Order: sequence, then C-alpha cells, then structure tokens
Amino acid sequence: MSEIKLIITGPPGAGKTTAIAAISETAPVKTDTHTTDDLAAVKEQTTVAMDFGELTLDDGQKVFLYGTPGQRRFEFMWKILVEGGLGLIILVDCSRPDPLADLHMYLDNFADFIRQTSVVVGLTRTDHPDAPAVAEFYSSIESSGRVLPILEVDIREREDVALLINALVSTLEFSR
Amino acid sequence: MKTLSCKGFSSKDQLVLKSLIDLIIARTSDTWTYSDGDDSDVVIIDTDNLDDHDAVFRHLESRHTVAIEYTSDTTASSRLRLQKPLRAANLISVFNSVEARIANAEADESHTHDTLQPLASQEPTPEILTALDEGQAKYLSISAGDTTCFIDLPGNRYTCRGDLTLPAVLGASDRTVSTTPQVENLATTGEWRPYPALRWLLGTSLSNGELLRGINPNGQFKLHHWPPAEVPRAAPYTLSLCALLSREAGASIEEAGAQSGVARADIIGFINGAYLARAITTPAATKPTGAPVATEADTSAPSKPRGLFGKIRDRLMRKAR
Ligand SMILES: Nc1nc2c(ncn2[C@@H]2O[C@H](COP(=O)(O)OP(=O)(O)OP(=O)(O)O)[C@@H](O)[C@H]2O)c(=O)[nH]1
Ligand SMILES: [Mg+2]
Repeated sequence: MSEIKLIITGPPGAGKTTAIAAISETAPVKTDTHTTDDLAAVKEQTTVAMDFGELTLDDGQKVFLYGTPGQRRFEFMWKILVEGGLGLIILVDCSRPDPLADLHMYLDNFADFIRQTSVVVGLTRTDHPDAPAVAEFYSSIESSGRVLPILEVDIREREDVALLINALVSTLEFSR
Repeated sequence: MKTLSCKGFSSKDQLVLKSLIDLIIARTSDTWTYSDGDDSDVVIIDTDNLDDHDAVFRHLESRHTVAIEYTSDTTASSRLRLQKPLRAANLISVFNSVEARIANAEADESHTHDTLQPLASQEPTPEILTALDEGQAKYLSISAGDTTCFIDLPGNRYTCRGDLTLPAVLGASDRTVSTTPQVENLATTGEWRPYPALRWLLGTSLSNGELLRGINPNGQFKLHHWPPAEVPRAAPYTLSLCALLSREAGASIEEAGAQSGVARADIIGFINGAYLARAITTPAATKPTGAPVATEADTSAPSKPRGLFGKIRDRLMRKAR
C-alpha cells in the first residue's frame, strides 16, 4: 500500500500544530521550540521541522498528516514534505497584518504541488476586528480562474479540521 | 420516540448508522434511537448481505413494522430505500417520510403504505423562494413545534423564539412558512443575528425538489465560491456538490447526481441556495438542451482509487478509535 499523506501549511501561528493535535489519533509528534526572534512577542512556541499525526482507516491503511514549519526560514522543508502528498491544506491566520498576501505567498510557493493535486484554504481567527471577509479572499483569487474551497474554521475543534480534510477529499474525488 | 434496528449490516455500517442517528437527530421531527431489540418501529435491512430478504420483508410487514432496504442497487423499487453508502441527508429524508407514514397510518388505518406519500409533497412550494429571489417577499416567518424563527433576507439575519435552532426549524417536517413584505409585520422580540449562510440554507431546505422559476435545468451549472462552513457542517453531502460544480466546465444536474450519488432534490436545493447567494452561473435560458461540454475533466478518472476517499470520509465521521 502506498503512503497516503496530507500536508498542512500556513504562516506561523495559523494553527497547523493545533489542527494536527485536534485530529490525530496518536499523540502528535511536535518539533516545537521556544521562539527567539520577532515571533517571540506573539507566540511562545514555534515548529522547526514539522508536525506529524496519523489516522487509521477501516482497512488498517494509515493517513499521515504533516504540518510544515510556518516560518519562511524553513522554506527548504516545504518541498521535502509535500513529496508524494495527496493534497494541501493552507491555513491563513486572519489576525495577521495581511492575510490576503499570506494566502498568495503559500499558493505561489506550492503552485506546482497544487496543480498536481488539490488545495483547501482554512481561515482561522476570523473573529479578529481587521479580518478580511471571505468574499475578499474569493475576489483575490478570481483571476486565477480556479475555484478553491475557502472555509472559516475554528482550528481548535476536531470537527472543523475534519471538515477541511473532507472538503479536500471531495475536491480530489470530484473536481479534477 | 421511534426506535430503529438493522439486519444484515456489516459492523462498520452499523457503527456509521448509529453515529449518524446521533448526528441528525436535530433534523428529524421525532426522536430516533437505535435499539438492538426485536420490536423496533423501523428495521433497515442490508439486502445485499441477506439472501432471504424477501421473507424478512414479508415478516416485518405482517407485524406492521416499517422495513427499509439498504442496498447499492439503483434500479427502481417500490420499497423504502436507503442507497449505499449511508449518507446523513438520505437518512433524514427517509426518517421524515417514515414519520409521515406512521402518522398517516395512525390517522387512517385504511390507508395502505402504497398510498402514503413522502412528506415532501406537503411542504411549501419553491414559490416562496422565487418570491424572495424576485424581491416580492423579503421577510419570512418559519415555525416548527413551539419555535418561530424570523428571517430578514435583505439584512442576512434572523432571530428565533423557542428552543430549536434555525437549521432544526428549517429541517423539521411539520414546519410552516409565511412571507411578509414589511419587517414591522414580524412579531420579533429577540435580537437579530447575522447569518451569512442564510440564503444557502433556505435553498437546501425550502426547495422541495423544484428549481427556482427562471432557472434553466438543462446545461452546466458553475459554482464561483463555496458556501460558508455552516452549510457542509449541516449537510456533508454538499461538499461533493461543491467540488463537482466548481470544475472548470461546471456540471449538469444529471452529472452531479450520477457522480456524487446525491438525490436530485438535494442537488436542486443546493443550486437554488447558491443562486440566491449569487454564487453560481446557471445555463443560459436560450440555449438548446444539453450544450456540448465533453471536456477532459468530465471523463478523466481520478488518479487514486475512489475507495480511498470514501474510506477517509468514513474515518472522519467516527470520533475516535
Ligand atoms: N483566540 C483564538 N485562538 C486561536 C484560534 N485559532 C487558533 N488559535 C490559537 O492559535 C495558536 C496557533 O498556534 P500553532 O498551532 O502553534 O500554530 P502553527 O501554525 O503551528 O505555528 P508555527 O509552528 O509557528 O508555524 C494556538 O495557541 C491556538 O489555540 C481562534 O480562533 N481564536
Ligand atoms: Mg507549529
């Protein structure tokens, strides 16, 4: 059986580690360390290599969940982690200064992988007063001609992580 | 309260059935519970797994127990049927028609089950939705049980008086709906709540299997954006429809039904909701039926076996291992 793997990416603090902890059936493997640079003002811990979790299907097959490190200085890890992946979930933290630019940065960086597979966008911390409306995200990707699922979620809730994976599975099954 | 049991189910399907019942309870008007006993109101029979299912049906019918077949067979049948794989939406609609059967049978013993109609035929027609769409009506009041919800469509907001939530009231089989042109006519007391999924939800729950007036049913429908997360949270089958209708070439109602296994009435409800939310392009009314759209996307097989996606879905529906 080939390895089934889903990748979760997004900026620091978007909730990648939180998402995997919420849904994984094994205690997630984290590689978080204390933040040192500018990020330390916002966040105590950050992921330096990857997060890892897993789900077991009824027939025993495993689905592996990989979370990329958020910070750009770990960009080299991104290409390695998506190798052989089934699809991508991009989490966008709507409390950051420019969430639309964040989304486009990840869409561009993973463009090759997305073209071969599929992508779902999860918007987190959408209750922030400056959070852009979902419609703004859709308008900003309109020119690409591709319709991506963009869903507002509470990434701390297992049901919402399941919703993103379900949406990804639906696009893999029916959108291509 | 109604009790339900199953016969011939694999242990996995039985598990899925039990968890679905817990999940959908808010969308059925009666309370359903799973029972392992022998005298339940309703029995679902996996006819693919049982050789002597005709005898089982005869036996149950002689006891006036409602028997439902559960099968992957798609040829026509006079029996109440749940199509494989188990889906929440199908279960809700079967439960609601069973409730109607039992209620009708109690009201009139002379009725045989053949003459009993699923409840859908008594539901409000999509005239209401068309009136909302065309602006003749702007405000709705919807009641079920002791709850009344008021909807301000231009304001994309609602308020409810009573214990039920808006999705529960919209999904209740005994709900009544009325419209009014003036917001002052609504006897609201509570606070208005914004609800971005409102138009989608009205489409999926009030369509009664009919497209809004003026929508051409023949041709490709193309979705421009996915609904708010509340919609797939309440109705997971909408995820398949979203994916099918967001293809570059879109999809026809027939294609969407054949590929997703979602009932035609649910597809139409979803399209109406997307139309009300201005999220979908519908086929041009002037075009002859079935514009040629044989694109590669329609014919190419997925690169991974379909079974895998179904298995991932099954796994996500279970809480923990
Ligand atoms: N208040 C609030 N907190 C949230 C919400 N969503 C996520 N969080 C919190 O945001 C934090 C996200 O942190 P992580 O999961 O470590 O983020 P990450 O994407 O792994 O970040 P890096 O590893 O640094 O790239 C967690 O503390 C969550 O509990 C939300 O909607 N509201
Ligand atoms: Mg992390």
